[in-house]
Amino acid sequence: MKKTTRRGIEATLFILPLLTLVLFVAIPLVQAVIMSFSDYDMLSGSREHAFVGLDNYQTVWEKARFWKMAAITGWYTLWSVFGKMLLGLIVALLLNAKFRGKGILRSLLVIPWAMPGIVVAFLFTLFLDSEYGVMNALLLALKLVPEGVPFISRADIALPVVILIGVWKNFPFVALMLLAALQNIPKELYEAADVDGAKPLQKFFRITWPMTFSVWFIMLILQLVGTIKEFDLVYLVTGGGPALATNLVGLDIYDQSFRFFKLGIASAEGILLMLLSLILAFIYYRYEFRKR
Amino acid sequence: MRTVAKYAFSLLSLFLVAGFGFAQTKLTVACWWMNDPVRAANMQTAIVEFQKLYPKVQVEALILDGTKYWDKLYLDIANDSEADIVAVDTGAGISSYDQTRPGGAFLALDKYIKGYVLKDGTSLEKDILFLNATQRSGQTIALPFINFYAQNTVYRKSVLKAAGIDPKKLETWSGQLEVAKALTKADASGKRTTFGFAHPTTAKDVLTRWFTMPYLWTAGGGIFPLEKGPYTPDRLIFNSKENIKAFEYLLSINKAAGPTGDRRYYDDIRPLFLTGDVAFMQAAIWTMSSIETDMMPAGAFTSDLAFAPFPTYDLDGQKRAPIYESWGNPLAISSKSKHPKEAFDFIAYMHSIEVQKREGVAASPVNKKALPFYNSVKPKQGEFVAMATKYEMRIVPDIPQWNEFEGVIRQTFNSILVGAQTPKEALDEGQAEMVKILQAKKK
Repeated sequence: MKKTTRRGIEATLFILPLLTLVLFVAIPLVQAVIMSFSDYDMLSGSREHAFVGLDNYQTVWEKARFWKMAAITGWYTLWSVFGKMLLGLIVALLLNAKFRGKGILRSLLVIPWAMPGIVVAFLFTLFLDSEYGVMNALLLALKLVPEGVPFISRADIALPVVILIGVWKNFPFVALMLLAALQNIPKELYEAADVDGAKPLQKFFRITWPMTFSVWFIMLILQLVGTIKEFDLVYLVTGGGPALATNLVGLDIYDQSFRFFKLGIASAEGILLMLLSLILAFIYYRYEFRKR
Repeated sequence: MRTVAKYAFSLLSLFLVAGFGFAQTKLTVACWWMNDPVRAANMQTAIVEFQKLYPKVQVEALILDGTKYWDKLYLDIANDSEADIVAVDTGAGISSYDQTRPGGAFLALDKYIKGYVLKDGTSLEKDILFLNATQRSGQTIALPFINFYAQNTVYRKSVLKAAGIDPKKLETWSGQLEVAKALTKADASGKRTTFGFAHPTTAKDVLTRWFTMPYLWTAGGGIFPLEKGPYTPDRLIFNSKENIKAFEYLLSINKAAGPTGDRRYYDDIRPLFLTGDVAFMQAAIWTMSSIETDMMPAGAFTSDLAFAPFPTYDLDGQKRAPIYESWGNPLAISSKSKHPKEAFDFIAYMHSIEVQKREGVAASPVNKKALPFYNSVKPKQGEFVAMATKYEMRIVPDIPQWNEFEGVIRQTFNSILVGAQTPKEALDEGQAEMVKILQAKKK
């Protein structure tokens, strides 16, 4: 094959991912931005989608429920990410130790993360059922509660419950990434520390933490960006209830788009969420840039 | 010569077939129930019969996923691509669909209805019930087709008899509370084993709203006075004391006798009634088909099932007659249909005696002439319908913003019924949201 033809084919193959990005990311993004500045109410009876400036953003801003949702989303993100990072770190440290059956445990660890969200949602809906759920059966058997607790039907505990479900589902990914980072730490450093009589906590803060911080930080940013736009698990378990106690911004975007067909409002909410994610992504890139 | 003749004959045949095709009028029908094999078969039978009467009209029933039907209908209307004939729902309002297209998505049918008599003698003006439930701005925009008659109280005669309870007590709110408490049983640990009464509470299911609205109306409340217009923010009564009273009652009966925990869907409660774990509940005519097939033990549907009307409000020394929910699946014609006359002939045919007899599977006919047959083959359902028709029937406000109102109502009802908010808190919040929806700028 002629060199120029092969180069041409190679060039085309390299452009394909870019084309995919443009087609499935850039174009929809531009469309969403345009819709967020337009009157895009599909049920209004109007076929015109006039430019309305910041009206949609103003509507979102002034919506009392939006701020409540934003607060719930903030708490959900904060505690969910904290839980995943902490549990992920603890499990990674445990799995980094030498013991029998470590291989099997590592394999089992992947299961929650590999399970589809819908399966996890249904599993926990049954597990936490106040009449027939395993959790309540245990609590009642241990006489810790006088009657079954409606975990996902009580407004005061529904949010912590969905946070725990989210942590259970996603901490394995964090644990596996941190485990890989831990295994890249040279053993000689720990041996030298042992020689110097360092205690376990000292070894953790002087060796383990600094050597894995960059991976931990990347995971933190990725988890924040991923959790802030959470939708499927919460939608399937509580639907945003009870009494909107678990109503995340992601769920409202769904309602505005697919129940009320107010695409302008939904796009404005989506763009605001995206801007927040961009800020987090910017922090990550600054950190990477400084490292280099 | 032979070759020429062969080609000439082929061309002539082609023209004849194509000509015949062009002479045929094609109609499409979209209904949400086409994934139900029995009802889909009934539709196909009706189509075959109609096409025999109208050979130049070809009707195609679209097979659609029932769960996605309603959202798809909105989008199809917004894209001017809906079927010629569509099923709508008076329990959810027709206006929000109709106003999705400038000038209205559905054809006004009054000029077609006037003087129209079917071949079996059915007069659309005189023999069809609920024509007033399908009107918008004074015009009829759909024919009723079938009705669900929500909601009577269903109970087991043997259970009340064994407890020495007079069934007449179920005819009032205070009576139902008393009966519910009396029929609730618990085991030694205090855990309820039989529930006197059950009511859905989830926000994820529209049936919670469907089965709660009659309580609000009967108590004298609702969303707007009598659910009639003008539908302006100053006329909202969502946070009225009557609605608060209705919810306080529901909370008290749920607390005294209802299932605890997560039994929140109507589909969770119905099986409990079928097995005898719930003593009585509210039911619509469509519930009756599952009660008929699944009520235990076998034969209980005929021998043990009984009805009481939706209870009369009798709290605070007041007496208010029950108000039922008028709820059916009318058939409308798209304003974009190229064959409105033929489409009307089809939906009129769907109101003929024979079609209406067959459609009494999951709902009640709206053709008065079909009711005697319906009552003879389904006497229990006939008894249910006869009881419901004695009372006023109301529909929810048929407003363009109904979709958004529905969202507010579901969350409000759920908040109250699971105890997350007091009735006043939740209804005040809901009212404020509704005001904002009505005041939203129209560009």
